[in-house]
Amino acid sequence: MTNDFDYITVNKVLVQGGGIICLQSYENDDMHVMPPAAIKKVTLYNEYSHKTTLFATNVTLADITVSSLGTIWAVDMMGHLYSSKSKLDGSNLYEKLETQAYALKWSYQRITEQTPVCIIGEDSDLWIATFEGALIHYDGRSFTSYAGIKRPIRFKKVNGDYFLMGYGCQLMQYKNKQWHAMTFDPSIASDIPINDVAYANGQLLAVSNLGLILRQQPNNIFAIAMNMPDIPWFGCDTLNDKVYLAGGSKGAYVLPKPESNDVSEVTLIKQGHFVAVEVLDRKVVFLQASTTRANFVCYLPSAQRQWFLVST
Amino acid sequence: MGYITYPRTSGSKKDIKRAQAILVLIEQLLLSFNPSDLSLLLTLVSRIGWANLPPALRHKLLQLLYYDLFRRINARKVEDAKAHRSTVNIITKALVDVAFTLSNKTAFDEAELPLHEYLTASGHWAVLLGQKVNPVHYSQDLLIFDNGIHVILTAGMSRGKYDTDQQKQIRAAARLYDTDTLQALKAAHKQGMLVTLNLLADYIIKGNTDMGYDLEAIPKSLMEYHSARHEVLKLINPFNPSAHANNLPQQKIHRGKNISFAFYLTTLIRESALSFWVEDSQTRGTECRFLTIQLISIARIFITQRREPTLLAWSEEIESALIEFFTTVRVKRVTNSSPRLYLQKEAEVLAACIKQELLQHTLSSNESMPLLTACPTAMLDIVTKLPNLESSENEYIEFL
Repeated sequence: MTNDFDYITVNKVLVQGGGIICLQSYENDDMHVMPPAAIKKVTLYNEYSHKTTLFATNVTLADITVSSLGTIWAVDMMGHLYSSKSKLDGSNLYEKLETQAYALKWSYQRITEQTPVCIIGEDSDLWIATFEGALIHYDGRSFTSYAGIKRPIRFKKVNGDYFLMGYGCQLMQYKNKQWHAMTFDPSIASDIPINDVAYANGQLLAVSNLGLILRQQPNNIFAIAMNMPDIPWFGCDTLNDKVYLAGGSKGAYVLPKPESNDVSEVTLIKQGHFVAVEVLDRKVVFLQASTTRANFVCYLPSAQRQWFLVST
Repeated sequence: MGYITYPRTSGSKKDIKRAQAILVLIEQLLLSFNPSDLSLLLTLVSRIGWANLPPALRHKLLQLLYYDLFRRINARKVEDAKAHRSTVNIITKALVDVAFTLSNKTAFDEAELPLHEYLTASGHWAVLLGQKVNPVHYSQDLLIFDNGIHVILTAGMSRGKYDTDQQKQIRAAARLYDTDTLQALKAAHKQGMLVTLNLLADYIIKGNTDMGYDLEAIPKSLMEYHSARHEVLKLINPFNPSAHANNLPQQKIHRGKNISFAFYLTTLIRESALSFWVEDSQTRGTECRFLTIQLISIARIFITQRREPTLLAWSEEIESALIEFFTTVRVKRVTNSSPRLYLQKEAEVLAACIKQELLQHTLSSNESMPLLTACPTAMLDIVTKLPNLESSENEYIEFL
């Protein structure tokens, strides 16, 4: 039963075929080491949601992604890659690994002895970043390792390009089939995490949970656009030219005029503890921290009832 | 630009003169007690540069002070017991000061020896650590000098170097030490040979509105002592001194998650494990996720190497992981200044403190775990069963 667990959190949401794919982790107070994970699909209708469990594993899933052909890919923290199609060879790095496929034909394969942290890409063009600093590429047949960044936080596809960001003021962009490190103004402390990036009105914004909102200048260098030391910015995403921000325990915010050079205000739109924000199918989804239930918060800016809690 | 330097011998000469004066005063005091001689002697003792003395002279002087003079003054027959006790206590404090001055702080930190061993290593005296029969968390440790001086080690922000409320400390000690040690402690108190030393007195920083400890300056070796650890751990906010690792109903209401300080080995220390709060989420960029990645990474390496690590090996890996956690992820918010990550030195002290907490806890708990033998209990805790997942249709709930 799910109520054996003290904390269930939704850690990532993605769109797939009209539904929302969710990555969940299950934790107990006396079990801090390897939270088991599940992948579910939630379809939202007018008055209710329909949930389907797709997959579960007793090894923590670090990240999931959905390819444009609809394949779900996942990596776990022991070094396995998972696919919602039966194309991986079933090799194992950890004999106690247990999986349960509820729907779709799942397969897995050992890929690295490092700790995978995040994944993005297409069925024959996948990228996996490890905690130790490798960037592993999968072309559908074999794996190749490149140098990446140590302590990455996440990948994100923004305006058609992949970005990889991490602790220690690190941000890379994949352009012309190569990963390039992006540069920051020297006034920015070199130890701040880069938590998320978003594209609004022709400019890239980056946020840090040390309170900074950065903007890419015409010379491509990121400079500080706003410093709000009290608000830990964990995430940002754009809908209709408005940038929505997850401000940790300080709530959900919107940046009303990101195009203006004079970015000087953010507006609180909801109290709560939000550690990520994703715009999916014209909905703004905020992921919660410090919750015991597997819920996420959905914001529909133009609807009459704007805020919903969706259980997964 | 140049500097004018003076040969060090001039300082040394001055100190040798002081040493000779002290020798004369000791001789006089051994013959007959005179308060003004004692007062002069204590002034000289506090001012002398011990490091400038030739080793043989320094040793002779310290032996006379610690043993001959201390014993003679103690043994005096006087009517006013209270005044006598006060006099002995003043000498005790002066001698403890000398012992700690001689153990140069930097060298002490580098040596990473427990305090009693480091004091003994000076070669002038032997110091023992009182052995507790009933270990209790965050109670004071006891140093016993071989001339009868007892030093209760405490730590605190508001107290001076020597605490005056010794009754309270003795009451606490009564729950910890065996009858013989306790009787010796009480006797030392009665005779004025007991002092209560604030280990962190030299590391207090006073701001305009608040006070704190200079984490960068505190020697890691002080983390050996419960009282110092407790004070340092309180700097991690929010901190739960009384929370149990796996029994936290109030924290669930608080909508937070407590990570036990010894979080990896939490099943070993179900009782009275200290904890600090982290954001409960496995979402990217959060503290909890970073800790999970680090801990699985440690476990994975042990598993792939097919090693059953010792408790010490676990604790060392956890210490390194925590240094990285504090310097990479954990934000330090200080009143009236911008948030920042912890500095390397600060992180090292906190991580050393947490490591000691883990080691000391298992040493003192009933189910004592040997430090240097494999610790399979910890490995068992890595995986758990699959969640049994139920899916059903659901109405939306309006989020207010």
